[in-house]
Amino acid sequence: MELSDEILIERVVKGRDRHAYSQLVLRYQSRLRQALRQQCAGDHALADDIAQDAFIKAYHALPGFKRQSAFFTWLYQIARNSLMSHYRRNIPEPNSELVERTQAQLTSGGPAMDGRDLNRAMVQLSAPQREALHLTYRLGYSNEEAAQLMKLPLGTIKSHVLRGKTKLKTILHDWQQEVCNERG
Amino acid sequence: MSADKLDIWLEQTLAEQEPYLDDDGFSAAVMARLPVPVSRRRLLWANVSVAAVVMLLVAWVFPWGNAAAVINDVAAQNWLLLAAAISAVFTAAILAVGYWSYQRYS
Repeated sequence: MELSDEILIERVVKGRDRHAYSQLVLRYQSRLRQALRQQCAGDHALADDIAQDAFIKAYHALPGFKRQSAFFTWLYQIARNSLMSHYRRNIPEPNSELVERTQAQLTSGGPAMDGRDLNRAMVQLSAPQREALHLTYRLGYSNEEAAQLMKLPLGTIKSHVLRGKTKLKTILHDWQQEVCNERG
Repeated sequence: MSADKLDIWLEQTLAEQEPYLDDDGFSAAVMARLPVPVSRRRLLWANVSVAAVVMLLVAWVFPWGNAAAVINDVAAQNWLLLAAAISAVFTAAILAVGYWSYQRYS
């Protein structure tokens, strides 16, 4: 039987139960890493490093977790703050290898779209647009919750979602046209 | 794909669940970086040992030979009081650190 987050958290806080915490890590590692990968625009190693740090910070801070939100929401906030601090400390330098790979992928897409095309198109959005779309669509947060997580006004979130989708449509449409022209 | 179809496809694909990322050693790496919990018994013994060492040190430094004479001396009684107060502060600090580490790491 799978134990609830509340019980696992209780065990970690009361008894410093490492096994209980490892269950939480296993449960949320995929979701958190996926969310961070979206924000790191393809830098998976950075996303995983930030995710690891977030889990470790969360372990230390767990006794102070007030349970006003779900564990994942709280964890995501920790990870997001770490990522923001990282970007403030290190102005991101363009990873030339990554850029070349992404461009190669962009030009190799077929006319039939799939999830990978969408992920490639997402890379071209601004970071807040990507995050807003990821939170609202993939993670299922409401606009209000996304606004709280991103510490932005509700109207700004709605605007990021709307503009992000419009930009995605434009990018995907252009790719289709290019591929059709090349084949035609 | 027409514009309408692209719209529908985009809405559906955006809302699709992402594939599960294999753990691939991630959880093990996190757990390896967590502090190793210290056993409560060991921590208790460490606290008692430190307190005992400090007490012995204070007893060794304390001027026992002059204590009787000093106690009779009214002026020196203040000094004795000060020494006792300082010892109490140190003891309280040690106990506080011990309690904090007990709560934090046990």
